[in-house]
Amino acid sequence: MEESHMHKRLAITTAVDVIAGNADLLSEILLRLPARSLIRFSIVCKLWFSVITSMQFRLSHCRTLAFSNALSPSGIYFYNCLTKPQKIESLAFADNVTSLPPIQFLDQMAPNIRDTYEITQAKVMQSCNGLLMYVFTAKTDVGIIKIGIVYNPAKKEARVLQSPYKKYDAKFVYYNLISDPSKPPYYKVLCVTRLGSWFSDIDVSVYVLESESWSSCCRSSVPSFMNFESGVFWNGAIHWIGEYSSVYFDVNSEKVAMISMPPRPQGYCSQKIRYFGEWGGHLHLIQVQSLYAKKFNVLELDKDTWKWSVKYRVHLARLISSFPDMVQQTSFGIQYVFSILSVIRGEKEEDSVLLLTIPGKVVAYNLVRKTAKVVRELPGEVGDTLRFNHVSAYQYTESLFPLFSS
Amino acid sequence: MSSEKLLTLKTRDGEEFVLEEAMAFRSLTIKNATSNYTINNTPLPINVEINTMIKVIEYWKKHSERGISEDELMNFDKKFFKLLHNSELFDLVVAVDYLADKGLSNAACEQVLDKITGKTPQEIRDIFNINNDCTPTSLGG
Repeated sequence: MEESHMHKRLAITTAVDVIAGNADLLSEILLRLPARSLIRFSIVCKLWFSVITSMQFRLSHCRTLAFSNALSPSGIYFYNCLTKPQKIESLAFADNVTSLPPIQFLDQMAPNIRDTYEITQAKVMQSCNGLLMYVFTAKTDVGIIKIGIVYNPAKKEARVLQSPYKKYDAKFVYYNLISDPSKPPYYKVLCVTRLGSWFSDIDVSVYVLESESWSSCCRSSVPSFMNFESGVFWNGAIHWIGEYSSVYFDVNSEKVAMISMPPRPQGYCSQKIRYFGEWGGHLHLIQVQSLYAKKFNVLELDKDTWKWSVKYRVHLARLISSFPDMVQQTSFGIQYVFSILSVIRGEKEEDSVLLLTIPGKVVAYNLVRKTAKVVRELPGEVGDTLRFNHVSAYQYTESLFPLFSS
Repeated sequence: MSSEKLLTLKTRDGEEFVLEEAMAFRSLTIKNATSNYTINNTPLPINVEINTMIKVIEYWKKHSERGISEDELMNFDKKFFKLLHNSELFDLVVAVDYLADKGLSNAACEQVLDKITGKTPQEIRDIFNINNDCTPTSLGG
């Protein structure tokens, strides 16, 4: 009896030591943990640290999440359009996450950038699979420059990109991020530059990570009124939208092409596009008739036919009656004040919501049940109508995504 | 009437036992090993101890039952793992990794995962009996 007890004691040490000491077996177990836990567990001991921070593990981990459906955002960053200048806020989705890692990037991470340049604007422009594209604009002796930085907020890692060699007026330079953990080189940065006498052409260049330089992929003429500030990565391409046209850059073929736009809503208004974004593999577009619109449709682009169709019909009448601050009297009539942050597709259809900023609050409007609830109070005031960029929310996904190949 | 082929296995601690070939082949390791042997009566040695093997066979038997529903299997799994001490669970994880049974391996790893999710690093060290050999400087970059 005693002997078998001893035998068992030895067995305990053996098995635990085997798991704890066997990097492969350990990886097998750890690959199933979310990035947040892994970052915490990397200090358990030297072996765990080396397993978790190894390039192989980090890439395997990204691939695991990418192929399972667990890669859903745990929150969003968004700019509060009620404050001047717009302050960045965050909203966490999961119950056990209180807040997202702050983007204190410029203060903590890049003091030499801050000291070298006179920064006029610093902003998140895009998010893609756990990485953020952060762009800051600065005044230098030679003019205005825009520097792009790829940032992983979960790991607090940043990679500053060299600015494009040719000196274009940086007003017309735009950075875009593609992050696809399922295949090499795992992330790409594109730089779109407007050219030509009427800026009717663009050059798309890709950042060569090894040599820290830009290489031109293609040139193309584009329709007027295209907005290249915020691209959306969906279905293997970066998509941009303008009031009358939509253009995309296919990552594989490295070509620029156009998509047909849906019919433009009737109404007297020059800026009808209120939202263009991706969630859970779906690409959505919201156009409104005018600033007086209380209802609009959420369109989705079909993956196979690349045609737009109506996915949800939104009617804000009930929301407006619950929140009378949304009603604004102007000399042109009554306008409804709201800014769309994101269409969020739930795992179950009935959990799909539209996230909006209204005066003083962020509201989640359930697209199926047509009910709404307040998710956050917001400081600030409505100036004129809530100014809206059609992309103003950036998904936060925790990932161990490596930015450097060493 | 079963004309099932039987396989004799011998554990690391010297115990011999007989198993239906079909069930034993849930382990890729066993399956590959037998293809190298002509089946005679020599027991096939496996690097697992009898106590752990008993648990593995219990799991295999349940999951091979005809006509069992998803719900019944789920309940069985829950009870099965609940009754294991940490040490038995770790034994199982190591054994199943060796035996190469993907289904049971996944289930066992999930259980270990449950035990470590939400724990602090110190609690993890306690569960796994690990010494903290990390110093702040050794974690540098």
